[in-house]
Amino acid sequence: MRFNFSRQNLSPKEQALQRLLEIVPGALSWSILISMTVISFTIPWVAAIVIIAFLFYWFLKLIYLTLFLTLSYYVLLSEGETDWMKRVDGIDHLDDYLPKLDQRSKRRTFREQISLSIHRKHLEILQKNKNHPPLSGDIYHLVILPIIKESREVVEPGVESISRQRFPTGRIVVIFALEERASEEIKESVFKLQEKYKNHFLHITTVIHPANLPGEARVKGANTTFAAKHAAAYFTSKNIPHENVILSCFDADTVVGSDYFSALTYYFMITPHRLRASYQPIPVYHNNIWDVPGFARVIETGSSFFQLMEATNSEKLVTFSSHSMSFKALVDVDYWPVDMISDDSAIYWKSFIHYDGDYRVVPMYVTLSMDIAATHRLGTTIKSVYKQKRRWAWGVENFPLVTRAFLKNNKISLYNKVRYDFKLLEGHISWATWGFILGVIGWIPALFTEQEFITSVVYYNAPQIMHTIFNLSLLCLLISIVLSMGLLPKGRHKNPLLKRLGFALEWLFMPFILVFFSSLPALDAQTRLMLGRYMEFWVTDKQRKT
Amino acid sequence: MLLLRKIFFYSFLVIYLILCPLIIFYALGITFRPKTQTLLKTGLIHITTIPDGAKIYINRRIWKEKTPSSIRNLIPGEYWLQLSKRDYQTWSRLLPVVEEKATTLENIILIPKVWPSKALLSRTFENLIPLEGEPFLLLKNGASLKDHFIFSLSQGSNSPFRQNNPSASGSLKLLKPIDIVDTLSEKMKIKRFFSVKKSPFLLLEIEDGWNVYRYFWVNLRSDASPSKEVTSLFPKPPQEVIWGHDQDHILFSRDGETITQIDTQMMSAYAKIIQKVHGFTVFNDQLYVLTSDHILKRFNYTDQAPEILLDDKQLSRELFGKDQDWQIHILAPSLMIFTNKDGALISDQLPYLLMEKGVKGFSFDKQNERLLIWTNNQIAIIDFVKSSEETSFEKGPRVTFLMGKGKRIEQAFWIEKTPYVLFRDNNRVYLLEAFTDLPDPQIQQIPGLITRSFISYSSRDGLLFFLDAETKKLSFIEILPSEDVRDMLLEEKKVKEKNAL
Repeated sequence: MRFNFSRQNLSPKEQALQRLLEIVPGALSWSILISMTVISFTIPWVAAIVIIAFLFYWFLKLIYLTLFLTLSYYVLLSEGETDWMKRVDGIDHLDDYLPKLDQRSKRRTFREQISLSIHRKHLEILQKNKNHPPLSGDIYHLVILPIIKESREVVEPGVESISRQRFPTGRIVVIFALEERASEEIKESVFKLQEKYKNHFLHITTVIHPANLPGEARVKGANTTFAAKHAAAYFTSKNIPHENVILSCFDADTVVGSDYFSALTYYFMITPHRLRASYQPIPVYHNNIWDVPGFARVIETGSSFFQLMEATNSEKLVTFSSHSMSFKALVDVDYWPVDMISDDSAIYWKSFIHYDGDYRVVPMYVTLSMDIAATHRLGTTIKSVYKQKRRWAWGVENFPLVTRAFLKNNKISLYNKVRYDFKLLEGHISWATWGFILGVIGWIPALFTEQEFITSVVYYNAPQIMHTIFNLSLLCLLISIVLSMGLLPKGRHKNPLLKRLGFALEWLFMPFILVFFSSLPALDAQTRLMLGRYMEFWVTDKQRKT
Repeated sequence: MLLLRKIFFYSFLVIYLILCPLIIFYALGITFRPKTQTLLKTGLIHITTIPDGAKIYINRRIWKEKTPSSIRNLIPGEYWLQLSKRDYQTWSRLLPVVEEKATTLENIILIPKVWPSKALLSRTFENLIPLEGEPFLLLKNGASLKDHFIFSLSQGSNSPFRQNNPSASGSLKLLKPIDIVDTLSEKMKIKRFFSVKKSPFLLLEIEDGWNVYRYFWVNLRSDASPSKEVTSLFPKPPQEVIWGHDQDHILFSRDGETITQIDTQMMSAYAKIIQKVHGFTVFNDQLYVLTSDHILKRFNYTDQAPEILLDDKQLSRELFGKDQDWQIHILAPSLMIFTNKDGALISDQLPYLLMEKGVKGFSFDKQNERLLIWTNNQIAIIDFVKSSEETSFEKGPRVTFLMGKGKRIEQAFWIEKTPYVLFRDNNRVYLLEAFTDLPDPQIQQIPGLITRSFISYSSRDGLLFFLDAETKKLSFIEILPSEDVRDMLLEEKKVKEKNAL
């Protein structure tokens, strides 16, 4: 379906609908918070009952998510030692590979068995499907790195990591998508990098995105779109079919492991409808994890956990941050929206609508590492982290567009429209409200109450139930702490055990984080959208200790 | 993984749909009775004790928890509740349980079987006079100056009183000003003294010859601020002298129907600043005066133009009568009461007249806005908290009698944060339950405590000071254990902080 995935150039009717739908998330979140607060003061026993019902729901959801977090973590752990390149070669020569796979050449560990079992399942699906993949030798990778104020010390480790891939780098094209408005110093460092790595890849170039092109906002999507169009021309000129190109749009600070592109090639090859899919790795924030304040460490570990949990729900997985996709799909859908901040999730929704719901995100059990938003000062780091979370929460801007598209589309089933739209809305509403309900509003009936409520049975029973639920939920927190310790990179510390113990204690920031770095920025973003105060792209501060 | 997610999702959904209503029913106190196949609304009893850890018996069956505890899912009706703890007297009571309601018994004081008292000083005394709101006791052995002592109490929950170290518990010293005024003789008699609640100052009236009186302004708190002779400011013996807390160097003395303002710093007096006075008091540096023409006025110390608070002469005449003197007491910025020598009690809130006669004393609980009053044989509570219920006729404060079988009640105190009143009746001291919503409050005598003088209760320490009838020594007993006092003070601090926020 052809759909103008933008809030620009709309008819008056569409404009009115767009504006109305922009108000919905913020209005719902505020209604929930205000009504809960008012009820807590006026009819505290009703508030207590509502909060108990909510807490129990939250608790079950917490168990549910922790369960799948643990499973997902274990799969990630199991795939840690996988030789992806060997598997890619195997798919190229499937007839020879399958019998070898069944031979028990050595005693396998449980993790290896899990990995192998998943691999077999993938191959089974591939065999059933007639849409066979191209040979790995025909597959090319395009990496776009958008740059505006990222210094060489932030960008170079990522480029270096791409140059050290097990996948042949002779089939990798790297494009620095450089903003014209970047400083001369940044531009110079990019050209130096290009020069340094010119012999490492099939092609490495810098595409300067002119400022103030008509119809564009100052957003990352406009920059990457400009670079992708350049790449499309390049591949056409080299007679490389777009179907064989996998695009990875990375944040400038993204560092990948040596097997990342092998793994990506593998997932691309085993996915039946590989051209109608995005490929989502698990983002971790290890580049500067030991250099940032504790609260920021916990927040970003939480973000990694969120992606791990979401990876188990591939039906509703949405692309986030650095990810990959079929280049053909990108060209088909006319690239990223050039006026939206949340380009990472918007490209998924744009593709989903373009292909009438026949588009999906394939979770990849492989990590890539990025920087935690930070500066050298605590105050500015807090501000930076808050702004980054608000930018992520600005993904709510997809809701009015997706809803409008669903209203127009006749090919996506009503069931799927409701399911996807509800998940999109519910996700943002809970993001903005849960922290406040759990951390603030839930306590109002017990703290600010009148004599009449004090003499009621609910006054004594509600705190007992709440304490029991919170105590039981500590088990989930404990599991999260244990998993987070396992996910941590090895640091260069004198006493790593003590450092890790300190990290475990940092999880005590969680209630504070939930309110101030989760719900508050989300509510801020929704309120801005509700009031029509649209955000501009704000580049996160990323600094590392040298 | 997707299939697993779906299985778990629907399992959790079923769990939620089944358990959530059950949890909500539990929260509301609704239980299912399998025998009758019905839902039943229940109530609960919440009980805490001082000290905690008492065994609970409900209808003579032991409860699984010790105090503090909430006994849930009780079918509405009456329950016999009994609390027992080793070395403490058993506490028991028939309690009503109402559906969806909590019967709350907070901080029940368990009385020890033997309540040990400790002597503080080896010296003996004839009388003890508490100085309300201040950590001082005035101890007397006779009328002359040398027979008057001031005992300073060390305060707080870490009070040395609790450490069995009487020498560190406080200090005893002669009541000044004998050591600074050469012309005074130790044998001179203290005729009267004037004090104000929560003020460290005393105004002493000392007899220096037949019908010759000298006046001394004494600060009990500070050694650095010496006592001062202020005789020149009192040409005639005053009927009544009061002063405020902020500007405590400014005194108001009443002589007949006139008020004189005295400044002890400037050593100046302004005679007859207000006339036709039938009652007066000082609150927040403002002077409240009830005049003989039945007008209640408020004066600032500096501003001469008074503010008229009550100018309804008919009402005023009905309330205050003709030619009667009244004591005015400001309990809170919006609560004023008046008492007279017959023990009548009037408040500035409807229905105004609360007691026609007999009130001997009172004590106000600021936090709960409750007034404790006592007559010769009765103890009662007046609750000034306004009901939030909207009714056609406003329910004003009413007198709730807790007991009426006293013989000669002299003093009564709130035991803060507990539902108890401590009172002295006919030389014995009792604890009285002050549950206004439960019938038949229990009275328990503090075992072994007999005293012929006044007693003093320190709410900060939870300690009761008295002169033992037999030994005449200054002694004390712990009414509240130290940790409970500390907990309650912390709770009080939290409430204050919350209110401040």
